[in-house]
Amino acid sequence: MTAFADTAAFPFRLLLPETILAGGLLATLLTSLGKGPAWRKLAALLAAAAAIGAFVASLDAGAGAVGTTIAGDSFVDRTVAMLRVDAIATIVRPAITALLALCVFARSIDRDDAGDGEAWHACTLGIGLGALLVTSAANTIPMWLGLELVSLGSYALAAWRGGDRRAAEAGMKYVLFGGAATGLMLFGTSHLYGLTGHLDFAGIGHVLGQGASPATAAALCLAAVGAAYKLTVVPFHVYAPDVYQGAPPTSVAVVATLPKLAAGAVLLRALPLVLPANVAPPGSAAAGLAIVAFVSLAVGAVMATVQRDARRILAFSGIGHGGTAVLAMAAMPGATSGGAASATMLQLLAYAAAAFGAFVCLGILERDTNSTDLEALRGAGRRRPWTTGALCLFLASLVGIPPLAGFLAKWAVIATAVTAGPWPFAAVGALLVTTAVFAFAYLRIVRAAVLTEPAHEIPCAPPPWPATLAVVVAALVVLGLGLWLDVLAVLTRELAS
Amino acid sequence: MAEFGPSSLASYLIVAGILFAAGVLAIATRRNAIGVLIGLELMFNAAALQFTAYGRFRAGAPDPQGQIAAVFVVVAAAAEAAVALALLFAVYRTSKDVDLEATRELRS
Repeated sequence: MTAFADTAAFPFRLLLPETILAGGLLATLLTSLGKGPAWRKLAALLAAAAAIGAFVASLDAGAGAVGTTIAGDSFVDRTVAMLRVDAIATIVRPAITALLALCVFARSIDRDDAGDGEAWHACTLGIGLGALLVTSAANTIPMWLGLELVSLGSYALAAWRGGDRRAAEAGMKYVLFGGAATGLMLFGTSHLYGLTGHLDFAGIGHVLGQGASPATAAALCLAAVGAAYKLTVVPFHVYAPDVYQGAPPTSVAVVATLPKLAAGAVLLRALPLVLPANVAPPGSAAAGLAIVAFVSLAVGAVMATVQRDARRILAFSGIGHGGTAVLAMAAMPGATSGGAASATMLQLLAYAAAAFGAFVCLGILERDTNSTDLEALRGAGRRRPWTTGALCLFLASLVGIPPLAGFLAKWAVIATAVTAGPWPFAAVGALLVTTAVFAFAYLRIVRAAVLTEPAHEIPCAPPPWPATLAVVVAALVVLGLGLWLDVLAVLTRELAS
Repeated sequence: MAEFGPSSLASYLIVAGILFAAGVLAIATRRNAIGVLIGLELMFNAAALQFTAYGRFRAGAPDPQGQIAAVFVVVAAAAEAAVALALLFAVYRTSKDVDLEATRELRS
């Protein structure tokens, strides 16, 4: 148990990444007072500086916890944990801030017709800040407050292309669906609070460990909806294809990756605390998670094969990968080693890097034709060989082809889930089968881009250098995580400490 | 036997349950996006009411955490409504309608 930071003083070093992002957000918003390309460039510079600064700060933030002492005349004095920068947060916070910086770089591919780029950067920094809060949450209040911060920015980002019908529709569907998910989560959390008397994960888990009723199980499931919809697992996935198809390219790169990392991290912290190994009946939690994983994989794979839009295919791929992460978590209740936690972590990191790269590559290809329809990708390999090559690399990592990160991640998930009981075992079977189905779906993108001749010549300019840099870094991460065979052992060691 | 009245937890939970059910019903059946938005607000308010009631009637001593959570819920609901209305306005500007059945350009 880590010691609480002094509640009288602000734990500056521990929360420096969050502080930098909040400062960067305000500074970026201020630049929207000025108009013109110079101000827009300043906003991008400020956002990039804030993200990189937060990344550097998160590398050296140390570990600790932030709590609040609740005291009063008739109230019982006690300290309630709010944020806990533990091993999970120490790994995920640098990943989120680095990805945030890449997202800011990738923004250079969006054609900014509306001329309000400053606010785009502010929203993205807000999403990053919310993701950091979720990542280190040890209490339901910072968890859903962070999720809400992520959501509000995501809704705006999805509808960013001013005057575009599809983007506006994507934003509307996102906000109505996201609001419903948030409402369910809040209702469940309030029941959980009433039934256990606690809002912090450890307190809830302590009461649940003494015996759980069907009512608490239902409340727990509802409270998990908020994280489940960020992870796009069935049945909270329905918004993803529409949002990913309609939103501007870099908005999708943000929305598809950052929230998933954060939601996965907080589930990773909450599950062992809230679901003690002795929760009855034994294996029920693992069975429930495995069923969610099974259905997500099946729905994602089947639907991915019938799509005609590359971004919709990737959306269903994201649903499948969310299911894969949940499958690794199914091995966690009662697991003795940190194998399940490290498999989940590697799966989240590998997916985030590959999906980010794939969405940015599609965004670069989309600049020429204004469409991500498979038909519009014809001849992309001839037109932009490097971008198409990078896209194929990221897709290969999503399939799980060695020596890329996706392979190690899938292998780790299978190795940890296959011994976790009958339901996770069945879900592993689904994972193996759907991998082949997903490979077929991705091959349709590759075939359209590489193996077909262009219908007519399209002039194309080289992509802006910040976007190229973002793609190169993502590709290096995908390759590096895959070639670094010790990564699982290192993650397991770090997470056990 | 639960006693009903202002000093019993059950009456607050029943009101919250009705609010929540009405919200879910509105989301499931309304074709107009504004109607769905009103349903969302009902769900949020059900959660806020439950937080407060559970905090007040906590076994032993009243617990301030319920009220703290309720304040945050109210703030989140307001922020969510502001963003949602802005997005509905964006949809209305492009398609002159916020009917969910009519706005269906994104499909497989």
